Amino acid sequence: MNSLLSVENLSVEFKSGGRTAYAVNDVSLRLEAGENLGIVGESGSGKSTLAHAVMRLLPDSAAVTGGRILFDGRDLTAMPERELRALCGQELSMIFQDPMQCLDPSFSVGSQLTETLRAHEKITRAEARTRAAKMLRAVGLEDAEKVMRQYPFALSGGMQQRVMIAMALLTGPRLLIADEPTTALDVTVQDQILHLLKELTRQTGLSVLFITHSFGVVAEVCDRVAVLYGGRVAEYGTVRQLFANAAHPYTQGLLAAVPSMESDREQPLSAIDGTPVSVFAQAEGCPFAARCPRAEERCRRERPALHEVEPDHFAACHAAKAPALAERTGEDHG
Amino acid sequence: MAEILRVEHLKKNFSVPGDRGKKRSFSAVNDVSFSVERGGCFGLVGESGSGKTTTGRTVLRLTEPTAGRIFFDGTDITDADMRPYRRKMQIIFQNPAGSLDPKYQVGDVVSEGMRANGLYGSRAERLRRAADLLRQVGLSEDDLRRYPGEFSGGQQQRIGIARALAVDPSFIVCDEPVSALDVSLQAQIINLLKALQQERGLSYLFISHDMAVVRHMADRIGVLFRGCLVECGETMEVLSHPAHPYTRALIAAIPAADPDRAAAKIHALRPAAPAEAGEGCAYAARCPYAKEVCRLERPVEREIGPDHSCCCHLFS
Repeated sequence: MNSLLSVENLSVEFKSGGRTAYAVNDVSLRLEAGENLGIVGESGSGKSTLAHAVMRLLPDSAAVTGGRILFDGRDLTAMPERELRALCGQELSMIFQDPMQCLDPSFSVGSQLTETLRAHEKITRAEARTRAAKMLRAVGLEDAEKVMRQYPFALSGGMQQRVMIAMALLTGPRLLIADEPTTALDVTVQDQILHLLKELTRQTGLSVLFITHSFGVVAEVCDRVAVLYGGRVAEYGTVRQLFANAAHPYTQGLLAAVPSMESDREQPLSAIDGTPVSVFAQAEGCPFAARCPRAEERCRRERPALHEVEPDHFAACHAAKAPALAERTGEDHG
Repeated sequence: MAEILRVEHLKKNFSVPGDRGKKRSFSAVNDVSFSVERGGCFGLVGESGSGKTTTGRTVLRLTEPTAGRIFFDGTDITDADMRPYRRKMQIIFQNPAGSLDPKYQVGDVVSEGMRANGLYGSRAERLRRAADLLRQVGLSEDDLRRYPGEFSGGQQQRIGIARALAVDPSFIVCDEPVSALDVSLQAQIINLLKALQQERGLSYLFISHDMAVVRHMADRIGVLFRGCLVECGETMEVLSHPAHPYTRALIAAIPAADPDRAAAKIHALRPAAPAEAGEGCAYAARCPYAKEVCRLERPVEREIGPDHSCCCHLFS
């Protein structure tokens, strides 16, 4: 059985002003059908580049320098453009942080939705309109007929985001790549959109690759999560494993740094020192070593490989060696 | 009462394009009253468009109020010449890169306020003082001669904080100071702001859309919705006994950051109707408890507990 999406040793580099930015370095991930995978990272971690590489939407300045991306066994990096375009939009869709990046301001919502459908399927305009209206209702836009006649700017941010989700799901894709789809939204609207995505995955068997900087968002919608740092996978496991038993000091630091509605207000937050690693440098050792409270000589010299710390739970850290040790660090942390 | 800032019935209307090229008035801040205690931190939370930033700017008279009064340190500054007050009232912006002049060296960015206010005789002395400030915010003296563009977002925000501190203010408006920063840097800046507050006895008006951040920083909070202060009071009192339906919705919508609780959450599925500003309560169109009176009549603020007030017909 093929995984729905399998990223194997992917590397992506950008050329910028004579310098090379190592955006994604040797990243391997799997997403099984019916699962939601969260990719968590800060700016410059390579999370968006990874998503764009899957859709082959990288700018000209970027190139895949190694590895491959398999969608249901088919290599997307080697596929002819024509074949890829048929696949994208049909079986693979993407939604973005800013809906206006995707919606055309000069066409009504209805004409954009029907055009999308008719680009992929041989159906009449009337059929396409019926299906578009049905999809708008499915994403919570009750007054679908009215929304179809409207132009994107007349809609609120939350409604625009719903229209973009409807457009992405029109052709019944198997994989939806969601690049920070709720980051620009208010928290009450974010809650609605996350719930909508969760419902849609439950009802239709859709899988979502969810790019985000927020662990809170991951906890809401994902089954598995990969934490990226410096373009590499720092940790990978089920959402429960990472929340209960984070093995990588970076994951532990991120989880502890965010104030919650329960945290002790009298105590300072446990901040991660230093600043994120530069994408222009290829460190010899662990990319997190300079900021890591547990870094040793070895960490600066030798890059840790991703290894299993408990079944289905991987970390790229010299300190997180055996399952027993991972448990102990979990206790230290909590 | 040791108040450093008091705002009474603050209103700010903006003129926006309306039908057929006519202008119409948009009420960004509508009858907002609150106070900030000396050495305290008052947190303003709300969604985008709720009037948080406008309130912060109006309090400093960077934007002139349409109506209402602003008192700073017991003096009515609503119509006053602000020059003598600028030193005492500073601001830290959300976007650190956009608020620092890229062509100024950091030393000049930080000491500009001192120069404008005629502090510390010579430039050399001002730069010495700027170096002290940079050290206090976690940067080094060597950074004086570098340019803002050479710094990361978190470091730029530190420069913004040093600049605000340079004129030795007693009150700072912090307008979403960590929202543009990466998660791992937010905690650094929050800790820094809190430590500086304690060391220097600063008072903050802390503006954020993030309830957990405001909870951590503020001893009192106000919840804004479409320009109206719907609930206000001591932070833990308001958060543990939220009264206004909007405050409750806002708290319920915070991602749980816990897979078990996320699974148990109840969600509002329907998108909110883009409510028209009518006669009644601004929240009525979205409120699950709205009654007839809510659509017709604007609720007034009522005390519902010690240092806890709410603006809702359910509590009248």
